[in-house]
Amino acid sequence: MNLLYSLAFVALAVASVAFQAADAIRRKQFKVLAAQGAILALAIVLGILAIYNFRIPSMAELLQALVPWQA
Amino acid sequence: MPETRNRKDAAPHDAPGKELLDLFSSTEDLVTRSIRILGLEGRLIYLHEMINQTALTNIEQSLTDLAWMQPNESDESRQEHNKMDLLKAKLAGGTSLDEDGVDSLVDPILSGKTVLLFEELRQAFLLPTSDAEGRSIDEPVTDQVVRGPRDGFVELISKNLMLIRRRIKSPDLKVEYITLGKQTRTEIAIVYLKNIANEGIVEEVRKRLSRIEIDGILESNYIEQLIQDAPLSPFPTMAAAERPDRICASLLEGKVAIVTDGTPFVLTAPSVFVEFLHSNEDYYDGAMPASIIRWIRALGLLIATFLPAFYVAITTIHQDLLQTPLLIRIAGYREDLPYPVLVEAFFMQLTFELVREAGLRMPKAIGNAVTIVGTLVIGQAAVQAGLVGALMVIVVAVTALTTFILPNYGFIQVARYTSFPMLILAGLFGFMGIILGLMFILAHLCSLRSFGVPYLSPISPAHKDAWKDVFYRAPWWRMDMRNPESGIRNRRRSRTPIPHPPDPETEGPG
Amino acid sequence: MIEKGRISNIQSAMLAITSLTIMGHLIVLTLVISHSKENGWIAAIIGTALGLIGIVAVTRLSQRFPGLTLIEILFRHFSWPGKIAAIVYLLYFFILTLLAVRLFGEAYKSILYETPLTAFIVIILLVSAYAVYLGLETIGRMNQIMLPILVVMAIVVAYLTMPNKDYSNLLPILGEGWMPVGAGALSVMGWFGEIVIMGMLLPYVQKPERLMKANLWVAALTLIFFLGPVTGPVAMFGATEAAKMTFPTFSEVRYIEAGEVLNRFDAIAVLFWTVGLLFRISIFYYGLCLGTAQALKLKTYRPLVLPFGWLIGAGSLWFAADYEEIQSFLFGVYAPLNITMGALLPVLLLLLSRLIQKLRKRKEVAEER
Repeated sequence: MNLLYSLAFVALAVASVAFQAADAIRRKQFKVLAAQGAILALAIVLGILAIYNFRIPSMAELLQALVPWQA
Repeated sequence: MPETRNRKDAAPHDAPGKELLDLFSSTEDLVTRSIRILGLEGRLIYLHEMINQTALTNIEQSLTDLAWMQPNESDESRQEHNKMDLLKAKLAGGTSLDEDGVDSLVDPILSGKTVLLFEELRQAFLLPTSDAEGRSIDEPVTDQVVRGPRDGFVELISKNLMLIRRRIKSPDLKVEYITLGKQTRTEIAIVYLKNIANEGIVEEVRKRLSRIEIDGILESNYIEQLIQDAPLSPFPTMAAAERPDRICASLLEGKVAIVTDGTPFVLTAPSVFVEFLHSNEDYYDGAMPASIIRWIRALGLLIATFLPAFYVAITTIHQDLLQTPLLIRIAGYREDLPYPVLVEAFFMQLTFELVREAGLRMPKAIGNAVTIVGTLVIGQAAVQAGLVGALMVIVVAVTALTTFILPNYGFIQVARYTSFPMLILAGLFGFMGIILGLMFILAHLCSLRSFGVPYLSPISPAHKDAWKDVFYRAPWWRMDMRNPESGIRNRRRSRTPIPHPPDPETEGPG
Repeated sequence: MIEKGRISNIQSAMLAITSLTIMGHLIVLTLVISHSKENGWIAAIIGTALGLIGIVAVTRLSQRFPGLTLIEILFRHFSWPGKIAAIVYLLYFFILTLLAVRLFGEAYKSILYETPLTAFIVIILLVSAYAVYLGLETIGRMNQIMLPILVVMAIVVAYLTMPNKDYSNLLPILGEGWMPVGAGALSVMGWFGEIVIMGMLLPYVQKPERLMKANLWVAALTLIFFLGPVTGPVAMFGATEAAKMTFPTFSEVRYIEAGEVLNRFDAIAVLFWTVGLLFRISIFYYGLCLGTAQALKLKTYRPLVLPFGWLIGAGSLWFAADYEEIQSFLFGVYAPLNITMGALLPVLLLLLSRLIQKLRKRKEVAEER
């Protein structure tokens, strides 16, 4: 079930950006493409982690570690 | 004069005539006749059904009666030359075949003019024999008012332009002709008031029209779809009207009108959101009733779009909004229904749309009866059969009725079709869904422009002067400035002070 | 620059007000009331005064480098430390966007508890992404229309809740000394630090000279709007009770009755939250996209809108495991984070830029000799 969600998620994410990506390829704007790809990749990773409920230190925890005191 | 129908085995002609006839070959309604004027051999060429026979006969008569006054002139060519000059004077100009070519004669023949061709002398004249019949001027079917003029546009561009010129008798009213459509060669006219309209917008209209490449223009809607700002948006960015007074009002505001031959619907550009909630009658009524009616229309738009969604949201998700007695009553209406409110609402709306669409095409005789039957009886039967709740029927009926408040057909469509996604959003997310849907539409509206003018002006780029015409309708003596977005050249409409009875001391009678 | 739009001074001020106010009424409120209880209003006033530091710094900075957004300023004028600072700012925008989206989901989950969090995230991001894609002008215009409506409704709501309020609950003043007030004030100051996002919008305002005045008005109005909610729940429920509530304004609105037909005006609260959070999310999302595009020297920010949308969506789920974590984040990290990014850094940048200018002038004068 989780696998299905993940696949659907990835497919949806890529499909939605596909048009703009194709446009970027046509205009040879490789920086744009790289940026889009990087962000999307990161998003997909996070998304899959969320779907599978992997326990990774969440952002809130990370930030709290940075704060030297607990107000 | 012997009349020759154009047939392949007709007598051989000289070059230009043959060229012309070849273009029209296989058409049996093209007529060619020989005529003798001032001793010169000429030919009349015309399309049989397009001309006014009486006009042609009259012109023929006056031409053949022309007597040549200079019999003393001995030089043949000189004679011919002078005769040509005489004809040119009498027939107002003429086309030289060497200069303009035979092709320039095609359009006039197609429009109903008769070509008088002198082949050896390579001259042609156009005789005005166009038959300008057509529907008589009458009140338009789609746009009826209680108080106001009762003439409407017809299908002939010349008559329509006449109706406009009759009302705006100003030399500043400019007309520019364009022909569009490869096969239909429809005549289009751009009309605007030079001292008021924004030249940039006029230029934009010209540019966009010249970009049109299509086989046929049958209705002004073709043009609208081909030059509009946002073809994918459900919101109209150009207005169309069948009434001359509406078009002239727009022209006076600085808008550009596009008149199309063959349809009584004249387009205006640019158009903004608030315009579609206005009706001409607002201006013919008093300020107070007109303002109230405007508010009612705006309310109608909201109801038409959001009422079913609201109903679904309240009964499904936000039940705690209502106090208990009302809640129990509403629950009672839906007592035995096996499916959720959302489905019920969707189903009812859909049915209503079907009935409405069907009603449009029914012949008049049974149309009304069937629509009433459809709605009342089917609705009642559905309630009794336990398929829908009575309240639902009421909600849907009210919604449907309020859509007719809107004066613009495009807006009615928008309201009807956005009510469906709103339903879904409401059913899933309640009020939040409705608000998000509203925000989505708002975002779209805020980004829309009509020929450069922001769609939500004068509300969004706020021009306080123009608010007099938006939120309420100020009396005429207060409407002194035009909307700066379109009527940028000439801001001041009127200078009339507030009307008052004559001051007894200074102005009174006696 | 990449954004061709222009917004008027009023529109930019309104955007700032909407973004700040919604966060205030939703979240900062809990912080302030739980710290300062019945003296929340004192904390608010002091906090606003402190917050002015950040506001003035950001405005000044923007006026000093006309036409450049915060990110552009950092990239062009501060060499490599500037670039690092810019990335930090982008992360900051990202974090705040995540926070806002997540809060949206959590807030609605408390009403519609059967709907999964993801659904809320998806739908708010859809509308938000659309608005961001359409551009700054569109967002400004939308806000210009919606904010007056919201303000009017807020006044109506405030009026309707009056009979339930007992303002004597606001005493005693400074009963427990300055400490609780101070803590609350810091939260408020942190809250105002968020105005640094305006650093991404200010360059596109039509009349830059009048910005200081406009932003001061923003602060003043935000404070005034905040005084209501900071006193209301206390007046209605008493200090200790109010301090315990997760969403005090929400609880407050529940008590309204309008005649026989309507009660429990939750729906009104829904309107505020949805619209307010929508604008807030849109602005930070916009700042993120625009800033990244400027950092990467792209021609427009539009291709980034969709990918960032996905990232924000996934990110907001990752942001915290449950509401408890969010709570501790808010109480622990939120204020210091904002104060740093919104007040300390801008002031630092301002002083640095002045210093650099002076050094440069000295160099020129020295070279002339």
